[in-house]
Amino acid sequence: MSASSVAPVAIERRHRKVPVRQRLFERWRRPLFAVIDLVVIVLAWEFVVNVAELVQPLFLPPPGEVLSAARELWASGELLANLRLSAQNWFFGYVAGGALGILLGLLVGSIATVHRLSMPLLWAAWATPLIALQPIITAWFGFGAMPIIVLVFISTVVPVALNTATGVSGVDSSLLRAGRVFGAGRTELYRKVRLPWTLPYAIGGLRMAIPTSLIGLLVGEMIGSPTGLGAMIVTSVARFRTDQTIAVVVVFVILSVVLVSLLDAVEQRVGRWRNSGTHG
Amino acid sequence: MPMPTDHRPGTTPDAEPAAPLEPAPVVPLISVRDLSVEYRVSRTNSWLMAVADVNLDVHEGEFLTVLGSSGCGKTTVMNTIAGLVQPTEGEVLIDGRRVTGPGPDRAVVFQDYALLPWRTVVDNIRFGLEMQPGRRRADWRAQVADAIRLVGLDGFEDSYPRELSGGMQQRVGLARALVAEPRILLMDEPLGAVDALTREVMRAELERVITATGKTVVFITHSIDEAIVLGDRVAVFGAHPGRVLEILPVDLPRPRSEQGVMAQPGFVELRDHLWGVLQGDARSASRGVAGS
Amino acid sequence: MAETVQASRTRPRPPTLSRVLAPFTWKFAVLAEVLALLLIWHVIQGMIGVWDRRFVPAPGDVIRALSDLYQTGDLMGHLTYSASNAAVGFVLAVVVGVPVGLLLGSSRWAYDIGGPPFWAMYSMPRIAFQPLLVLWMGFGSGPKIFIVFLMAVFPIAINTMDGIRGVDRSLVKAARVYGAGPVDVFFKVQLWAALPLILTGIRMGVARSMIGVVIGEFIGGSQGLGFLIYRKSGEFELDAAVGVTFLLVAIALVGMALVNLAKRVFASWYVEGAPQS
Ligand SMILES: Nc1ncnc2c1ncn2[C@@H]1O[C@H](COP(=O)(O)OP(=O)(O)OP(=O)(O)O)[C@@H](O)[C@H]1O
Ligand SMILES: [Mg+2]
Repeated sequence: MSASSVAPVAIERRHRKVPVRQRLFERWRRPLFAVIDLVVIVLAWEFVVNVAELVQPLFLPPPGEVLSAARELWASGELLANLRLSAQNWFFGYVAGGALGILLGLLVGSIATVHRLSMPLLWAAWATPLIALQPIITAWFGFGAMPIIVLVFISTVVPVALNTATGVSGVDSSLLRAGRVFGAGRTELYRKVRLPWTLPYAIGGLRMAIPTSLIGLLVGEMIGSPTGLGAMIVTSVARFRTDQTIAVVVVFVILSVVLVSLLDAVEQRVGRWRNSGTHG
Repeated sequence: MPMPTDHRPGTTPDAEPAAPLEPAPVVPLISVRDLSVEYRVSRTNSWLMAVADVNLDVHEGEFLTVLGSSGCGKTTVMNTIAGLVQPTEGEVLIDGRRVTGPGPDRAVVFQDYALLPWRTVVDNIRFGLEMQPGRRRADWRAQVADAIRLVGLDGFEDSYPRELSGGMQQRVGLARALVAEPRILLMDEPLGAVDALTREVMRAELERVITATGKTVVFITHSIDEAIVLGDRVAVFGAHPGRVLEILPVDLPRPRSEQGVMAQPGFVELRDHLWGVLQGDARSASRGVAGS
Repeated sequence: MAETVQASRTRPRPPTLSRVLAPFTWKFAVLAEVLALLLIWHVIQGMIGVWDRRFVPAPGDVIRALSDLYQTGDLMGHLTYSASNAAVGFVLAVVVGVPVGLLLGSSRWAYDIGGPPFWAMYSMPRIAFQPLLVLWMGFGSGPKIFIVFLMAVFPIAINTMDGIRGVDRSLVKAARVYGAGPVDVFFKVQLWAALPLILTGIRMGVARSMIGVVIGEFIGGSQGLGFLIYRKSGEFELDAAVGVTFLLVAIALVGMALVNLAKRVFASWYVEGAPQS
């Protein structure tokens, strides 16, 4: 391609690469520091418990013991059984809560009067410690899986409904006007403009609901349930097996991080049009 | 690399350059020497050359207007003069001394206003005074009031920036700069957000104020007419990377802000010439993009 | 002449009753809605009695139970216990969270080094540690205060961080042009600009600390409103349990309203996102 004599030179001058070593450092500094952090923390933990013996292993077991406790729990099948129960309870509550939350949000957000009347209540519900309902729910539903599922359900409905309603009600009015100009009817407007606009908000609500629903799950299992990861945490502390406690907590953390990143990925995908260009 | 030329339309480069109306002072007040600025683009992890090899002299009391297409590096050059951006290569001298950071001798009217949203108009204008230890507190009130009157914002002293229109905010920025009493005023499209009518009025007002106070001004604009009406000289910037294409003097009689000036043959000739220069640059830039 | 005309533009218009009440109209509507819901509840349970009233108490039962609790002096004791733990934990969270947020938000090095453990702590369900906290700190106020702190500190720190990061760069530039040094830039520009988000974080912190209070008293607690809910539910005195739950909710809402008030006073210049239509 033979362009003019000026332009290629100008283009060439436009970008200059950063030296390779600096570029590698810039690219990897975040993960590098994260790994260094991890190593330092584990070493400090090991040092505090095993070398300096500042803390009794009973209170804070060294990393090695936690690892072997995890292996032991895995081998006995105890971990997997409880994990499965927790996962089940969480899944039922979360899916039901997400579905109802989206429906509720669409309802609240689509009708102006309902929106104005219900949003303050939804905000209030979001601000209140819903897990305080746990004892009452247990009194209603008895012991077993049901109160846990209900708690997860409640903890999911509120953020999902709140976010979805915010999405639907905030549809750019010029988009609606444009849709009408091009002859879209009521249902088409809803399907082609409002719903696509709302989708990222609903996903955002589902993302927000992950930590709250996991809190609901934990509270439900830690209080008044003999099974599930939450119960394992409580009973292992009661038996002074803190190595097991920390192992279970770590499993739980991994679980929640995986779920959060999963929904983050979905959110990124679905909401791409919202933040095109600004992120990278 | 096209060298910046200093000739008027109609003169050929090999012809004798016309003598300026007044002999210019020997040492320029602002001197930009071989300036290149690169920005880091963290996303692609590379450096973007925003301006390359810019040479520019501005003399005491001179009004230099800077013209150029969007994104060609005008703000970057101005920020370097203000001391907000460090040169990658080259330097900026004020009175022969190298610029290393902002100083009380320079004030900036920002393209995006940059008003503190939690301060009222009065408090925003006062900001520059607060920061200069030498200024007497007792005089602040009167100085701020003068500036407010000058930019025509009487009655809005206690408004917050969000309660003002874009043009009004820009006038607050202008008042803030004037109150700081700098030797050099750096103005980045200060009339960009103002409606056409107010623009005319403020243009005339600016010309009056500046000539009365004898300040040295660097004034960025997108409007060819504005560049000619206000400037003692016009610097035309080209894009990708930003560089000076041409600097040409405007020797039309002042004041020029009236309608009549724009009909003068000298004005029309200048405008056509500047138009041609800008268009040529735009054409070569688009070719460059297509060829890459 | 021109001056007086312009000045009159900013003079407030004379207030009329409807204009004064206008911003409150919807608040009244919401209030009426809440009262209507209470009325419906009263009709269903108090008058008709659709469900067993021991399980689903009527509004009257709840009020009666609360006033009984109050008269025996139980309520105030539990209330002050919960409130003081919450207050201490929350103040700690502000005192730690704001500086941490400022540090992480303004220094790249601090963020790269402190960020990973910070986000790791944030992303884990901190209430899972409550049994361990009890083991470590005993059955006193210690673990209750600490879990409140753990719950409240993250939203405060994160919002502060976002606030300080989001400070308009051109404001900082402008301040520097007019002679502000790093100290002035921090106190006169960055801190002010971040204030609305800091207060937003503090408001979220209030909400979160209530969760901390409840967890702290559910697990290894023997006093406080959370414990009261737990005990009364266990004794199937659901009217009292529901009443105390409402009280807890009311406290959370009042706390958040107070922070909102502070926001309106100290950050009145701040306009929140797009105006609600
Ligand atoms: N902080 C920055 N980081 C990276 N690149 C930048 C930055 N500021 C400016 N640039 C780039 O440098 C180039 C010149 O920008 P500059 O703001 O100086 O242009 P300008 O001539 O003032 O444009 P306009 O007339 O639109 O204001 C642009 O290509 C822009 O993308
Ligand atoms: Mg610019």
